[in-house]
Amino acid sequence: MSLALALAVQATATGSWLAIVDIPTFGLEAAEEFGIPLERVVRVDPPDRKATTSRNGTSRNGGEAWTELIGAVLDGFEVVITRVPLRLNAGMARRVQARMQDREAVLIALGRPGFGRCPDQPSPVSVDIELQAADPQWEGVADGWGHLRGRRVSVTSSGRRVPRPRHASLWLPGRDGRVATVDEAPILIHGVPIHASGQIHITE
Amino acid sequence: MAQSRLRMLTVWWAHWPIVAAGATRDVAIVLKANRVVACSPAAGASGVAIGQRRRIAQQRCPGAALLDHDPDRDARMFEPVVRAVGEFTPRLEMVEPGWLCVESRGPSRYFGGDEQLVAKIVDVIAATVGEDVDLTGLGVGVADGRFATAVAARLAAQRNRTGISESRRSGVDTRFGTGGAPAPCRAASGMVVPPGAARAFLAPQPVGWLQQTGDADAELVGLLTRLGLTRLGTLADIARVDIADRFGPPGEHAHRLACADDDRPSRAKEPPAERMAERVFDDPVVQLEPLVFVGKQLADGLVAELTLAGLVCTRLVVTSETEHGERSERVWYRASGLSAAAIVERVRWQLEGWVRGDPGSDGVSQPGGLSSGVVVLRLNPDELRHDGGDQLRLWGGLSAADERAVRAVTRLAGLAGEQAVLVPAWRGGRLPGDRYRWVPAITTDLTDPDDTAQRLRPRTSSMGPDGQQPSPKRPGTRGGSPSKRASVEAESARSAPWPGSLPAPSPAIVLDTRRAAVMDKEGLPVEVGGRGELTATPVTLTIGEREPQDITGWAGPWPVDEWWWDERRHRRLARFQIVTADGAAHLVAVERRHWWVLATYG
Repeated sequence: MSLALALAVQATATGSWLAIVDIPTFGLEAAEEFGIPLERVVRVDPPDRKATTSRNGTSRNGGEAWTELIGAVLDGFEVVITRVPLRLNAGMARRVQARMQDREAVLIALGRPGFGRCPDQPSPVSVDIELQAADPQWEGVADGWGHLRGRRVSVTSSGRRVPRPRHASLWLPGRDGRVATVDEAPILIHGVPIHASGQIHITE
Repeated sequence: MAQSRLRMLTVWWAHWPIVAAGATRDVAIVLKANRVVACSPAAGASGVAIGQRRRIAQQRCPGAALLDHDPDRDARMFEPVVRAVGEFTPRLEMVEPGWLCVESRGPSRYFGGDEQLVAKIVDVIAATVGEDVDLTGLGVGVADGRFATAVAARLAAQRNRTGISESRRSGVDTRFGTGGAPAPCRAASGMVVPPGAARAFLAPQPVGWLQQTGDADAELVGLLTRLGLTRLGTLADIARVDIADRFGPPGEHAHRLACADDDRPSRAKEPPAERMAERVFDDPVVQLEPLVFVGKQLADGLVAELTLAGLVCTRLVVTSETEHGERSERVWYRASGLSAAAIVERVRWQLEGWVRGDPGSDGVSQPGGLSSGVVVLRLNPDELRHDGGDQLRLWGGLSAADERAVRAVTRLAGLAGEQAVLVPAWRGGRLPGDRYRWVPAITTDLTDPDDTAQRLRPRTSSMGPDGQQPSPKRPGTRGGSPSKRASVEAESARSAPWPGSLPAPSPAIVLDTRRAAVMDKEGLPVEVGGRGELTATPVTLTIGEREPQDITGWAGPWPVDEWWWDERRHRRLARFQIVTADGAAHLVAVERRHWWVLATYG
């Protein structure tokens, strides 16, 4: 989640709007500390979330409703953070991606798409960039004293737009509450243009 | 440089969106971004006014029908009026639906005087819009110069409206027909300012008129008011060079208007012909959308070129011709300059009726729009102005992204329900998730920076426990808003210490509640005593139904004892930050021997 927020910081700070769809556990204080201006944050809770996550025949309605909702969200917002519903077939995914290209929006999806379906079936969503944060190390707490100050993670990027997987170490968040590189080497996350349209997947 | 004082006539319809929606007989309000832009006479009588928030308007008039702002519909419905007036006044300029401006010298001479011309125009308009429409908001003004006539028309409209409501209130209602239901008012008001008397006419008027007609922005008007220049006459009495020194080009422009000196914007230049943007179509186009699309391209190019030269277009001639020679030409004027989006909007308004065949007043489409396809679309900037003083563009105002987001919010509220689209509001607290709460976006005005500032950074520290927020002050409405005091109060609310709150970083994932269990090395639950001492060192953390994780680092307890004076709300808990072997960090709390996870630093 922090990684998704970190991606949104640059764009929202320069005037883009951020929509958070279907993530009821979103932490606003964290977003503010990262540097996302809260004037441009809107949260959408889709109705009938049960329909999208159930595994029986009502999934079709849920998928349609979700597609329509995400379409409306992409119309108005340039950065969208959401969870991909379990039941999303290829047709709907294509429509969503077409809309994304049209509007030059960025969709940041948390978790694995198609989680829970048959592992043989390929995922319907094609991802431009996939970011994985691994090996988190928190600093600041010890045996009963201190408080959390910062976390180091090692982030890997891969996907269609990234020809060769790249790695970096990041403070997520750092001591001042923002995202930063651990060493001085050129950082790849900032090199990924936030304004490109596309879909980014995050696996914690 | 002699400035010619052109005698002009303005037609101004105060609540045109209501008329366009056909709702003058009903109780209706038109809303844009949760603010009232127009209301029917019945709603106005209940106290609804333009600029009010939706909530207030609904309080004043609960049974009113709420309509959405639809500028395309307004323009479409206004087309017949424009055509009708254009029949006998060839030099016509349109500003926006409901606001027309014509040069009145020729027609006035033809009809035998200004009053006769006003009466003629009112008759023509009344005939065009049909029997049923209430003319209460219609005002016609004649004066020297564009600004004076705009003010005159608005005053006339106001007078008409108050005249009607007064007659209603005093019980003398001469409009009652035999049936008992009030007939629509068919008398419109006109105001004629004699030639040469424009400056005297404007002198007692408040400077707020400059903002109403779009010639100055709220910042300048607020500043003038605070400096004591509350009337146009007072402003006009000061030497122009002093005004220009202090306020710059926008002030000079305002001063020129207050003196009724200029009917053209200051330093208007005649543009060379190369500025014209034109597209000739090889295949004649018969549909509206491709035309509008081309119009957008032309507009973007034109505005980009002008912006590079530091200019903005205030008067634009949009011309379109078909193969067979049919022609649509209209002059568009806007005091504050036409942006690319505004130009595209006007192109659409102009061409929609022309290409499709505009609906008559009874809503039935008249036969046949055009006999052939369109071959030429031309945008000709007629008047340019230096862009330097346009504060509207420098700061404030909405960006395109803001407008898109606001529109999307309205649409999403329709799709998912009003309670499903939320925006943050400051509440204050020390537990995660307490500092901000989510409020429905519909109850706020996302386009108003004051409203947003009040929502996220409340000004006064008088906030109740439920996060009640006092109503925001609008700058410039009073004589002198104590800005220093406001900023001190702003600081106090936000930086008010919340003793016991955790320092940054805050957790990114805030859970509702998830049961947890913290065990010591014997597998027994860890407890926290009344003074905050632990019974044992925590060794494992189990969240919900998952596997127990080894704890690699922990800190705490940080006790919280909230609302100890209130029996119902008293909370006493101790918080811990716990890092587990898988690298996750959680904020865990224990209250009355129950452990749960407050939040995860994810």
